[in-house]
Amino acid sequence: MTQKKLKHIQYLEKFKDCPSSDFKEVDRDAYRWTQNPITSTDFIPVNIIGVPPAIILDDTDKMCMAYGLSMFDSLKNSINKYQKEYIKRRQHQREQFIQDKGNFIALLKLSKNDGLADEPNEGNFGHFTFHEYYQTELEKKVLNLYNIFLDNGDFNIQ
Amino acid sequence: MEILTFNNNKQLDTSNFIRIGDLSHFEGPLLTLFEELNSGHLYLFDWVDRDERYNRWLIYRASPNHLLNFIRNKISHLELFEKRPEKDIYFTDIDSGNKSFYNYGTFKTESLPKAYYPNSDNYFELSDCNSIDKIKTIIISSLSKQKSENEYSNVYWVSVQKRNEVKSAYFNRVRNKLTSIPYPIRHTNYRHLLILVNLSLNNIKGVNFDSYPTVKKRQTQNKKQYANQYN
Repeated sequence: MTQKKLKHIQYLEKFKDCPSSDFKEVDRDAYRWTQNPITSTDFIPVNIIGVPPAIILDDTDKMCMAYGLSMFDSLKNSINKYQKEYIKRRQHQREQFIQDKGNFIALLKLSKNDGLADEPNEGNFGHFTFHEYYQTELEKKVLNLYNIFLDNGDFNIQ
Repeated sequence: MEILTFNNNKQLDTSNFIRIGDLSHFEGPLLTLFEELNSGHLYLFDWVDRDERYNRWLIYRASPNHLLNFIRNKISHLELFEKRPEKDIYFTDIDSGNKSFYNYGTFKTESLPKAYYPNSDNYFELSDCNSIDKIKTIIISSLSKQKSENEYSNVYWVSVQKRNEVKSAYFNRVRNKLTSIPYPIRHTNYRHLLILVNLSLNNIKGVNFDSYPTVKKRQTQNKKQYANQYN
């Protein structure tokens, strides 16, 4: 079998077993918070993106999953998690949260040639981590884009 | 980021801070519990702001009792903040370099912007916490040790150079040494205060008469206990 190369391998190989053997190639729908319009910068892991700086206190925060992409298994879960993270922040941090994470949700159709994912965590809004293969361009795999907020500023909870 | 007024001369030494776990975590720590090894005090690192270069953290003490109430959802983040045992609030700005938190200056704020107060409706959520068992263990351990603040005040020592008397003595709270009450020595931090010549120990109120070897033995035991605790 041909070994497929992962993006950001120079960071991943610093960890033992990263990503772990639990990560598999998947064919599934995935939902990710993005800006609109979508660009490749919407698919940069938090510990690699330079601005804003990753939230790190010490080396233990440089964990394997922080070099992957956060995704959700359903639109409802992705909005609910966004709402929860948004609400618990202070007012100015809410504005920063929108700047950092965007206020749209992209629907992606992941296929086995795109990368490796772990199982959605039912205890955490169906969150899962995705590690892209080197050639993958997720910004080109977006099928739909949903606005997180309604025009009146309320959450677009369907 | 908010512009803070702070005192450059009032820094918090975080070199003996041990990270216990994150009470809130999403793509990085948001509210993290630390223990200061010398004092046993618990501190929170509370992420409050960022710009293009730095993440800003408030650092303040939290009492084990109120921390337990927080993780039991009896009090909010704001109440936990307002019930802190010491009013001092420090901050540190950490950039995107590869250094750990203790490499950055930690300064005492003169006043805190309203925007930095926690939300009153922000409560602990188990799904955001990545090490609840360890956090609970440390909090409960801290509760049992910390019957009063006095037990954790610094222990200072004096040398008494008089024949037939104890050569070293240890007591709590140097600022109030004439009125302080002796407590069992449980602390690991010793500082040479002064040398008293020809002074009877009985004239120094608040002196704890443990011998130096006894204290050193306890110090070693405490270090072993901490080492085991974090294995």
